[in-house]
Amino acid sequence: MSAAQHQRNVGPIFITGVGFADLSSGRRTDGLGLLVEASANAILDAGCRSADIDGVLTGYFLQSGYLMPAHAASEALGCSPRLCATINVGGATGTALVRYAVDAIRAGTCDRVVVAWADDRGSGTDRDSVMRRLATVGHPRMEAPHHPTIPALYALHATRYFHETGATSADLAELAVCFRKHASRSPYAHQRQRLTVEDVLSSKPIAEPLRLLDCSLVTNFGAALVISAERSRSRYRPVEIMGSAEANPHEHMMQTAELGRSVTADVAGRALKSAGVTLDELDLAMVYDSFTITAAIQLEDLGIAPQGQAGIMARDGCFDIDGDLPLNTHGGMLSGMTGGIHHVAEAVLQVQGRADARQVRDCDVALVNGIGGVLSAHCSLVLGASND
Amino acid sequence: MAFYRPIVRWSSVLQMTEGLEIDEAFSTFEDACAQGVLALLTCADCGEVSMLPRPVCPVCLTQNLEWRRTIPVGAIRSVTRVHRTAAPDVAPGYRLGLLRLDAGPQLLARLEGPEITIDARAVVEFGPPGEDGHRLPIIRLEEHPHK
Repeated sequence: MSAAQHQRNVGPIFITGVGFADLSSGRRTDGLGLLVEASANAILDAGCRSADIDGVLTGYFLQSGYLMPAHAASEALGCSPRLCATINVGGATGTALVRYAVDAIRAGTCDRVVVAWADDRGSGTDRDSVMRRLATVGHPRMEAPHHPTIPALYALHATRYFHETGATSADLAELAVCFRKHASRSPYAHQRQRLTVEDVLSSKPIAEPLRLLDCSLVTNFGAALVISAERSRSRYRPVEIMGSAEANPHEHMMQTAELGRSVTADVAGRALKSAGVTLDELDLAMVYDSFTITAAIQLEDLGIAPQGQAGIMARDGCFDIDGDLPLNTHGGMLSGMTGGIHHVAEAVLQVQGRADARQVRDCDVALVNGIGGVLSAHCSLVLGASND
Repeated sequence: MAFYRPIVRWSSVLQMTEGLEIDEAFSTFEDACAQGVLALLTCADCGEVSMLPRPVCPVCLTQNLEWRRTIPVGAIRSVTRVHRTAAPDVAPGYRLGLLRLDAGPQLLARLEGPEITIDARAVVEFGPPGEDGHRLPIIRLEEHPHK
């Protein structure tokens, strides 16, 4: 291990390895198993060994017997890191983990950090309780007694969004159709069959105006990254973390300042500015798609789509693999790539040129946006190719 | 223990109903609801108004908070009808709305009665007592809008 501790690092920081858990259905494993599997694959991908890792940052489990998932993972990986923490920023955890690893390396705390998030939400022994936990949200005394499910809270955003923009359910459906088209090219996605707008509009109503196919799937997930100031020891080009930003305006729906909008313009704008990148220079966007409305709000707040027109742009092919700005090329959470960490991992694969059938040509700069809670926690990353 | 037992009292200025003197922030709102009163947590020092029960004022961090009766009217910001719920004892098909009270804070609650659309004027009432004695706020269309 190097003697970098307490030496501030002001140079570029890279993602040097990416790894996934085996997410094929029918496996008997728990969240920790997925977490460790993804982490080990990322460490190997970076050309490292356990002893090289001096930081372990992980997301949280919805259900598990582990009090401190990061420590349990670190223990299972044979690491004894200087920094070890379990982080909960809701759906922004995937992007936030990367940001915090960069901070730890810049501060001189660590040299090589593995960041990982996994959970067995799809195959867990108590899937019903996971569903209940995901369905029973809101302030425990002021909101939960009225039974606001997560889809219902996002539906409140969608109703207002329709009211203010004139967009329709058919417009939102175009985003689900677009992401599933990408998923059909991905061996990782849980759902790969193509959809039509009619499929989405005729799926079961969940919370008006959102239907089943407007909602992300409850699945297992697991991905990990190795972050370091040193260029990769692996054969793939390192991916520079060019910039990042975060905002946390509230937690609960009743404290939400705006409906049908978010603070994405501010957060992603600051991330792009810190990276010295403009929207026009993006080759790929990965936006958090817990629901179709979530993706639409981000795209429009960012200025990628005019107000109310994210769906129309999807219909017109703007977000296709060979479109103006390829979007959620792994199929998104709407195809079962849950948890937000897969958005980051996919951007890494794309920039490294490892995305196979869904590879975006000349993919050098990517924006990744994570959102937790009900548009409550936001963290954006700008990732770019490092060719020198 | 001061954090968990904030000084929360009913405003004597507003002559609140006798018997509501409770020093526990998290049950005072519910006790007011049980008596058909919508209460807002108000900072006696800076005047910040909130509906989230909490031990301190989020602006000046004082514990000098009072639950004050408010006029329970406002405008609907959004609505939904919930068709799927994981709670086994809850019948689907209920409506939810987010109401912006004229006093400032927002309330999330069930919608009852005639259809309510975005921007409609609405009033907060209270449902029947549940097994725990609580009466939940409900939102209805205002029949004779003042504005």
